[in-house]
Amino acid sequence: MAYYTSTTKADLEAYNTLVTTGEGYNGTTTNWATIVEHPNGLDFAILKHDSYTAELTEEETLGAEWFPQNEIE
Amino acid sequence: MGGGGIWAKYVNDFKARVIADGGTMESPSCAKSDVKFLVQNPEPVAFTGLLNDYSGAAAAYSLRLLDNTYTGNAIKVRRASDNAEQDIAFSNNELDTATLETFASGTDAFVTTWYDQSGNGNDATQTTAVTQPKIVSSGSTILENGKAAIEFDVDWLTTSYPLPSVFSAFNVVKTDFANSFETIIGSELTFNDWIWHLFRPSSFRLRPKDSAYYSGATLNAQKYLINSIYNGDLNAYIDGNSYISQSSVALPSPSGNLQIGTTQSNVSYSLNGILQEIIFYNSDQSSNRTGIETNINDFYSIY
Repeated sequence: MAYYTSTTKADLEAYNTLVTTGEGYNGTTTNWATIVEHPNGLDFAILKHDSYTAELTEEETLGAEWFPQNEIE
Repeated sequence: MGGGGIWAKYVNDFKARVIADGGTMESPSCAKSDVKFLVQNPEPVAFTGLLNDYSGAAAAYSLRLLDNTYTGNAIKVRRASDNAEQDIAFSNNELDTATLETFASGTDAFVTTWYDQSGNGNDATQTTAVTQPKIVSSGSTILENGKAAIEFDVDWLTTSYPLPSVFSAFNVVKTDFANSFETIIGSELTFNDWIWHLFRPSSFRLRPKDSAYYSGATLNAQKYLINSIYNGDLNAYIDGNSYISQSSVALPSPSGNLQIGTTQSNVSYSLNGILQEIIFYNSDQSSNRTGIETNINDFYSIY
């Protein structure tokens, strides 16, 4: 699953809106994906929809550093 | 023996029972009509669900009917082809897979709502498309041991069921331990305010707060009936056998609602496996535990 990344969260929110509108979700479903915030607080990412492209940086996957695991064991 | 012979035998048997009971039967032809009607129109055996036998659940999610007074739907699904959504009810006390597959029309379908059958309205929902668990794959209902199952792949549902301070929880779940941490049920708000139910390869854990956890023997990648009961002491049972037993476990005051398949909507702690049933009581069900387990196992043939 590819992701779009950006340091501007609004860009990814706009992409989410683009997909949500284009897909015509209705009923319980209200959006495409949740924006992931990097623990550094500076970078953001959203899952890319195969049918929608944007002028954003594309990453094949997000590294483990994006998803810190709080439990030690 | 012809049809008349069969009915004559039924009537003669019936007459013999009437006489044995001290009665009389004046009209064999009339009795024949009555007996024939009763044989051809037997009174249906009333369905009794788990919640009819063990009432008082605070939230109950299943792909089978749990209560014969419940008239709502089982799930609401979104199909991949056009994102339309539709409620799916029960048929013969199980998920109406025929209607489900007709709706899916050869594509995938995802669960947007898993309805609460307890009567408390604590439905479990997922409004984000990519984290909705799957119920139909390429037009076919996902099955586990012949029964409909919901497949979680870094997906989850959030309930409106407030985390309880005393509880009994029963889960029918399977994981392949693909992820480091796989949550069955957790807290919507924080990591540390309630007892998680999670897999940590290759065992099951209950995690009440901070980094403390309780665990047991190694598990296999197969379906299990897992239940936990917290009443100050903490006990967990897997397939009817004691797995964790810990006395005097402190639990932070719970806040927020319960999530199914994750904790705090965290993808790193999300379930990669299947769920078929989750039932919660805000009470100690120790006295009913074996009965509830038997009911669940009789249906799902887990162990």
